[in-house]
Amino acid sequence: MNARAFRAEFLQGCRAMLPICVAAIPAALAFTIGAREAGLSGGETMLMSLAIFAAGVQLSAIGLLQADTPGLLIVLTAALLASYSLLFGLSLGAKLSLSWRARAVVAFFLTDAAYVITVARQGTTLAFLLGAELAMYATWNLCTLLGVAFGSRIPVSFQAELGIVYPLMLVVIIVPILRTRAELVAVVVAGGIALAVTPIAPAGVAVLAASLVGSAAGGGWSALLGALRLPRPHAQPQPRREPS
Amino acid sequence: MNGGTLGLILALALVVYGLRYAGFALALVARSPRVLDYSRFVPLTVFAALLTRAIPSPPGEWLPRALAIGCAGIAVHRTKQAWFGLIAGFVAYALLRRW
Repeated sequence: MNARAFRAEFLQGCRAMLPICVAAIPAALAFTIGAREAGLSGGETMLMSLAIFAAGVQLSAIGLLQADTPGLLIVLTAALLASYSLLFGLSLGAKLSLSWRARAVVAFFLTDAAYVITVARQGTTLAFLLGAELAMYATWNLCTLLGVAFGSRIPVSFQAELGIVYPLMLVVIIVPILRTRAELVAVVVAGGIALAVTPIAPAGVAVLAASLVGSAAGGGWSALLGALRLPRPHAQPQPRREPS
Repeated sequence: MNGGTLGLILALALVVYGLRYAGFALALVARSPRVLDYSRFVPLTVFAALLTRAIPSPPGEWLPRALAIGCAGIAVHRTKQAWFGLIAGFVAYALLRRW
């Protein structure tokens, strides 16, 4: 891919991510407010966003810091929370042919939204993925900076209403890519498993279990339909007309 | 900057990055057709699980949240516009909370 095509794909990735970047605003504000309450300085709060770049992990870490949890337990919880990102790399690695350098870079910036935007696109590329990833990285860190500077001035009632943006973002991602009955089966099973496992396991484990069982259910449904489908009758070969 | 906090932040960054990279590394060894077939369901199932977890929190708010999510789903299904779905869901939620 030449530089011009790379740039065009990169910008398309940025544009595709824009509506979803809106969802980063409440999460970043919630994170900065929590970080201040946990006693983190502005520099430490910014470093978390710059170096970790994972909303769920950052939010859980400051919650645990507030409760005076030992560092090792905070790290273990983060590992469980981030465990489902293994599946993202597995899926993207199967779709894109990446060098080790590209893998090292895209792995750092990989988020849920960048992943799904990339896999939902026909003929996706590394440049598109990078564009989507960096758009979210820039938004997340800019919102963290704004939250550090101005977070205390946001009314509490509006903070609560902003909390709906994250689940709304998930819906607007899921609905357009839900096309087949097997996918519907996978979604319903994953939702049911998440609902059942969430009260008894950390969030990351619940999501990982739901995704594995849901994907197996979707794959199983596809395989079952494939096995039940009657083989098509072979077309009768046309008799060759001999030249007169 | 506190040394303990700095160490914790770096450890968290390392764990998150390690898990993200490990998926790509696994993809190099797990390229069977069955893995590829099942991996196409991963985005949908991960997002369905995250969505299911997000509906009941904060406690006591599940009904307006569920209805707003339903509105957003219908809006985006009809219009195919992510922006429209987000706005429809947000407005529905704001109205339902006040109602």
